[in-house]
Amino acid sequence: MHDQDRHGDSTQAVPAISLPALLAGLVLPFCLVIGGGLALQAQRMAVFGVPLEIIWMFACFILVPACLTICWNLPSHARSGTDTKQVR
Amino acid sequence: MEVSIFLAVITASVLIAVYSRYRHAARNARDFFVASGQFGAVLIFFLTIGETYSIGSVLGFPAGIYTQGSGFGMWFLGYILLSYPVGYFLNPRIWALGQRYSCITVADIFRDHYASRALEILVVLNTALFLLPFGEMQFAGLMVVVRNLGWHIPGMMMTGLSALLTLAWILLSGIRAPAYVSILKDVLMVVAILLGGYAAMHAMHWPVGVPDFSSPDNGGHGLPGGNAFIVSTIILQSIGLCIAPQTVAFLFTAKSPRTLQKNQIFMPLYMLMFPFLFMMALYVRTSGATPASPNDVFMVAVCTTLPDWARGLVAGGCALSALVILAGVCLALGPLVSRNLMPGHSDRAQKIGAQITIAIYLVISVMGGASLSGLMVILNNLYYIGVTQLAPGIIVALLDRKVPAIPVIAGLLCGDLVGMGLFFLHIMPAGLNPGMIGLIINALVVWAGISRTPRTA
Repeated sequence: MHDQDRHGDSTQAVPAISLPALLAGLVLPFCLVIGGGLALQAQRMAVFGVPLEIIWMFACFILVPACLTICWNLPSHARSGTDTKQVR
Repeated sequence: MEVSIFLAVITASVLIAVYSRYRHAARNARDFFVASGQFGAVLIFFLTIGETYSIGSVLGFPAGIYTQGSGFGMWFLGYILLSYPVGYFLNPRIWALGQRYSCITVADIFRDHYASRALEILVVLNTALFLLPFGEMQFAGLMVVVRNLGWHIPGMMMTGLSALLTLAWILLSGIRAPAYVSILKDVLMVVAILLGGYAAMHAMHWPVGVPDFSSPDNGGHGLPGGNAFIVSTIILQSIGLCIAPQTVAFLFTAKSPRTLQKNQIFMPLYMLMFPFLFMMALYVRTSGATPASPNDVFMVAVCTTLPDWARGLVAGGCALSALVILAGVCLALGPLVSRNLMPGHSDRAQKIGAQITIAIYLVISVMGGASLSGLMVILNNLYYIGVTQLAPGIIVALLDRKVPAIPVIAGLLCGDLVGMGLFFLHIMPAGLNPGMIGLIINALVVWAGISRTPRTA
């Protein structure tokens, strides 16, 4: 084990933020977790003893990375959206 | 068997800490506290995600589910989960600020961007004060584990040895020791939670015959303040988790901003152990077991369902969990005092000053760990209310706006006073978290101040 590893990305540029990236990476996860959780909580239902809203939160462990993966793969991130300012 | 496995885990952690020094002996203060910004994806992942499976989370989540039901689960899982999207956008930019100003602490950002000694001191007070309870909380958690295992070790001896081990790790190789040990700790925690959760499901024959957990008679939605409180707390704490002083210090250890951002994508997957913790709470609730306190729920499930060797593994994982978090907090607190509160010293003096601060902090934490003092409980409750007030100042710095420090100082003071005032008066306007009201007022004050300043950058 070393401080660095082969999978590390050593690019020093900070990726720019675009509107689609914000929608996919921030707004959508908040809507899914909070909106979905509250909507299901109001139903007051359970499956095998586990409340629906808790099952939904568990599902969000997969859905949030999916949103962030979409955000990461947005074209603006890979090409024009990258801030080329180098940090010291 | 139980004790042998526990001792083997602790020995392994010491060997890993020694190995981390062998690989890279810390040369200067920057290397000691933030590894000279050389960590790759794996170490950064385990270091920054450590909080997810801290001893507080492992004991606290089943305890909250057991006593407060699904409302607690929504809040607890929600704020950790949403801190990853927030961090996805925030972390690379905070890292860039750290590179620009050669930062070691969060207070360095404020000192260098706003060129204000007063703001630097205010930020140190606003963060260091709220870090104080962390030491006691880790030791208190450790005591819960030891008590449930029935080990007859005096509390002071146990916490004293733990503090010595933490100090030894830190002195050996600074931030590298908890970073390397956190890999072992996280593997153990995942194994322990999987074993405990599976055993709990097996013991209660889940999913057959389990009562509806969300039924009104069992306090299924037991958080005060209703949905407005849950939502405002989730938002407040998801921001707070990203700008907490120890988290920011961890970000400065990274080699690249893209690594930080990519890690955020995978971090929620790491939460897939929480269903097993939920099952352990469900088991204790339905089995008729009576834990001495809600914090004992996790250990009651472990002790009633797992064999000796697995209990030793859980104990080792919990101990490392407490000590890794403690080491991280120590390494955030030390330079806040030696570098920001008492500036102007040489690199070597900063490092020694921080080590002395850490040693004093550990002694105080050991003395308080056996019985959490009332002051520490209050400070812990105020943690997110206070720490999150740094957000407007950090966001202005991220936007590269060169503005005077006065609006940021005023915003920070207003946010703290309003948030804590509402907290102590037990007032929740519109059901919102007092910290969120403080943060809104803080942001408005900062915005009003900087909108009068011409844009220069």
